[in-house]
Amino acid sequence: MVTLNVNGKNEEMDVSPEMPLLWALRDRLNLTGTKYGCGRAMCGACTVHVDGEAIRSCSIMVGTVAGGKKKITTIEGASGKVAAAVINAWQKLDVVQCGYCQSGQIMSAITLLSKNSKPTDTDIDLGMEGNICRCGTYVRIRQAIHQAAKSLA
Amino acid sequence: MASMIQPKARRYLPGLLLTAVLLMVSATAAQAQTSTADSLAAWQKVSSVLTHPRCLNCHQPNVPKQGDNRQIHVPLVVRGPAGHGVGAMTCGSCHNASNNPTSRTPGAPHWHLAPASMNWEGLSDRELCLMLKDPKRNGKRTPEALVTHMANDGLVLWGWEAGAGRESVPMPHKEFVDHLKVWVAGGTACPK
Amino acid sequence: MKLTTKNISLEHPARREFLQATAVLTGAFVIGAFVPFAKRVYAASAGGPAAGIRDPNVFLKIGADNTVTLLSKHFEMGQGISTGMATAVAEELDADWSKMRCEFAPNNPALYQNLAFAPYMVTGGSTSMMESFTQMREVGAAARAMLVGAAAAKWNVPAAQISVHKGVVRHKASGRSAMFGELAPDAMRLPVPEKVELKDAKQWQLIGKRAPRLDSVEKTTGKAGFALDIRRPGMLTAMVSRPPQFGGTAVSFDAAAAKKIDGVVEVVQIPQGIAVLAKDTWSAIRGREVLKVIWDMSKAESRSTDAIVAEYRQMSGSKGLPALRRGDAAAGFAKAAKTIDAEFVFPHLAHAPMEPLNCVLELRADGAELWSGSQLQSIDTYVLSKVLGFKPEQIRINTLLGGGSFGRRGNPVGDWVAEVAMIAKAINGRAPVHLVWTREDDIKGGFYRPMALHRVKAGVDSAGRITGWQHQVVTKSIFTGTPFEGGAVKEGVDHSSVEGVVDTPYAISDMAVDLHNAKSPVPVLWWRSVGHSHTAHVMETVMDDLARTAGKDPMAFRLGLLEGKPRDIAVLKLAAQKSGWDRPLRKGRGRGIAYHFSFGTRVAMVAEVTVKDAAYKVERIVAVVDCGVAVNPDVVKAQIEGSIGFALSSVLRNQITLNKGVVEQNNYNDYEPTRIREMPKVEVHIIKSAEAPSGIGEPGVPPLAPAISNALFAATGKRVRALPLTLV
Repeated sequence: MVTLNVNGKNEEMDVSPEMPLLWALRDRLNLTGTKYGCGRAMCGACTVHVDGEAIRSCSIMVGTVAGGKKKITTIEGASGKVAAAVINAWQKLDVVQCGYCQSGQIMSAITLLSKNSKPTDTDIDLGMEGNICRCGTYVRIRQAIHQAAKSLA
Repeated sequence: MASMIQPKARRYLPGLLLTAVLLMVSATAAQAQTSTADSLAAWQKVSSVLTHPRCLNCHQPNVPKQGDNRQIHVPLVVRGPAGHGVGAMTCGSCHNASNNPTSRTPGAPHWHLAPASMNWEGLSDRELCLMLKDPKRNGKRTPEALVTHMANDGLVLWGWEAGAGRESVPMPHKEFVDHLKVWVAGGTACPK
Repeated sequence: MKLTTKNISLEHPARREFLQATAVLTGAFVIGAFVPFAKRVYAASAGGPAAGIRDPNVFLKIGADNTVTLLSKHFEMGQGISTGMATAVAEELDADWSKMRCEFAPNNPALYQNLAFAPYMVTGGSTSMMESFTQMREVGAAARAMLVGAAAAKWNVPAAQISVHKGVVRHKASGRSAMFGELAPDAMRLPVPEKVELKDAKQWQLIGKRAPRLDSVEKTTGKAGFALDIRRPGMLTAMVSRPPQFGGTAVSFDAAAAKKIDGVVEVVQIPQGIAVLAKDTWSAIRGREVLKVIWDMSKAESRSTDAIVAEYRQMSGSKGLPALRRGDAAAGFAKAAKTIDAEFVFPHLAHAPMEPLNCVLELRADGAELWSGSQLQSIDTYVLSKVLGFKPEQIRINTLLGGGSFGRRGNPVGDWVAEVAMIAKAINGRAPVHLVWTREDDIKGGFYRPMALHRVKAGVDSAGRITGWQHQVVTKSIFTGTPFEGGAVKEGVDHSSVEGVVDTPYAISDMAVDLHNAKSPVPVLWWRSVGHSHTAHVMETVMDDLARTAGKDPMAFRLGLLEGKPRDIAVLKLAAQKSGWDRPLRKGRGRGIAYHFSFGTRVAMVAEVTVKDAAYKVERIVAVVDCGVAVNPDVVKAQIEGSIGFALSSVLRNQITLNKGVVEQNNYNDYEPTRIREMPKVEVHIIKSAEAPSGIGEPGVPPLAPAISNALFAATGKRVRALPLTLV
């Protein structure tokens, strides 16, 4: 039995510690807002938070974050001032197109802004490098992060 | 570099101490009879390992490399203030404490980029040798501490168990450490 | 209010048997007579598409809570069409935008056909707004008239005295008012007006303004419904082991190791390969990894990319099919004062949408139900009915949001839908099957933008006029063997292979275009902007070379070839103005222009690049677009921004290559889409227009590569003709 603390709740499941966190979230806990994009930590569609750090759930194994001490947060549980500012900016600027990568983009942006409240374009580019958007919404992702930063200032 | 070995050291403290003691004994004994020429010959073996992609890829100035072809790390990740990346792009975003058989991301304890002072990329054999024994650049390590580090550190050891899709360091780890000891015993000789 | 299907029978598209031994589906049915896309769109903007159903009962659900839900006949893959169509409806309905919602219509082509591809229910070819703009406004106007009629009857006042504003129906004189929800049950029982009056453009409140996207909230909170998120009771996840070379087939397999993996339930053979079924995705991944399959590769593609290019080069030297003969190209070329002779090579490209292909199929005794990001519902219905032996009306498709497509989800042979049907059949429909492709399956799975090789010989006279243009195109036909063949292929010439060349807006009096149809088992497919994805690059870089050869400014040279075409000229001129075309750039920087007409839309782009050694960065793109009425200008802008982000990676690095028939790329590491740090600054300027709306999903792609190539030339004096563009 493995215990995962997800969105503030301890969840028990009978899975191998080698199972990628992504599939535990999606297939066991039915938290489908976290997406599968590449399975190789190349695209960031599966980004969730572990103790506030953005991690690629396709690549982090259940065993790495098990035990209930590490707090896992998915898009469904994203909350707080920074998360609200990011999501609000995303909606105001209509960042999304197909939307598939955007849970991951938003989770990464929250971590970025939590560490750096006034990021430059370069900070955004380097900090968000791991999140691919095939629709090419990057112009608006940059704008939305700046806007969220401004609203938090 | 001390901070780098701490987590491992805590876990394996008894073994580590024992190794250190043994090392000191054997090093003193060996020093008497190991020549500079022996040291230099051993260095060549040591350096062949240090320049292997498994070691060199993360001893980089700012951006790690990856793979046996030593390409720039995809996705691009930069050192950041602590050698652990920036923003939502940290080493721990993707790397576990062990290799991940599903995503194929390599993993070892405290996976991160070596400090900037320990950049090995683009160094000549002599420069690499001088860097390695320079306490100002090697994490304040004595030659003996270097041996300890390379004999025990989890991240170093990963080079010998690199997982599917990448070549592990071909020289057996024990042999590497033996060469390292000879290099140290003979006075850490560096090529001209 | 309920959706009514009374008196409307379902379409039976089946015309001939199509299922071949390999279960590759071809020639399912024939759509339309030969009318190339460009002509279709042109015809549409001149006279408008055929009138569609305007019964609000078909397209709208008005709830007691006053929400107005559009049943979208079009698939939403990010292009914003659901927002666009809802805007057209809401405009004429005088609805409150905050009350607009969208759901996908069921697969009923009789009701929800694309009027540009009648009678089929399909999304594609950048036709959606073009074909539905009038229809959706009529739906809104009809609904408005019916709501007014219901209010008039209820209040016993003349309908002419009733006004509607932001979802409120009002009779000023009596002071009475009602919301839509209260009137809808009565209104929708009224007869649909024979004729509706549409607003004059000057009265528009929503069209041409920025209305927030309908899908932003669900897509920023993890609630949006994609096929990958569907969970059905007892559902099994299936992954298919496919032949490592295109055209290979499975001879035998050993599932012993796979079945030992915890969670693996069953392993079955289907025509496309061997399917592993498991209780969850991870088990399916691991089960497939250890599956042993013996393949027959005797009929498979076994060449390498270099060999294919060499073959294409050889073909370009022989006589091809005449795709265009205008004037005397050879004589014109012969009398030129200066000539250029250029060869271009384009690689296979994968679409690589973020959501890998997947869908859920549930079989029942009386039919089947599919949950899928279904772009061509008519095709998917047909494929399922054929494989499963049901009538089309026994197939129910729940269309879901698509996590990108770029053409891949609109496969005319429904490759992955056929796979899921075969798997469900192989297990006798015992459990719902969720077929999931991994990213590797997607990158290696074929249906690529076809490779192409162009050779152009063109010349200018001493006055700088183009005297002759001889053009060879070698590529594999996309449309041949698909249900759309009749609509696109004439006497062997697939219009999509030469579009953007044979219909160039530039006045070139002596022009000959030859097409050479290459053969290969590598399946190909339309990739955002189809043929224009390569032809625009050829046309627009040759245009620059000719301008320089003639000693003319590239902008002025183009304008000189567009006499009598005010819309094209306006786009180019605005691009010159907004980009600061005449302003000098510092050393190491270059600026390049490209202009292209596709899907009825005119787009010019000016690229600015910086070059350092062999590396270059695209710094800025100024885009000008004329797509007729921009129904939602912010969505138009987003599509141009997105097209740049999408296409840039094919300029920088993307290519699918074969090594002895095996695809060399695997995942986003070696087929890496554009990253945020590579995204240039983008400015989009939309020409104000009263013309009918034309395409916007695709036309932003074609001008990007040539604009960058021309900018690189301006910076370095070096012409790179092969894509991806590499300065070595």
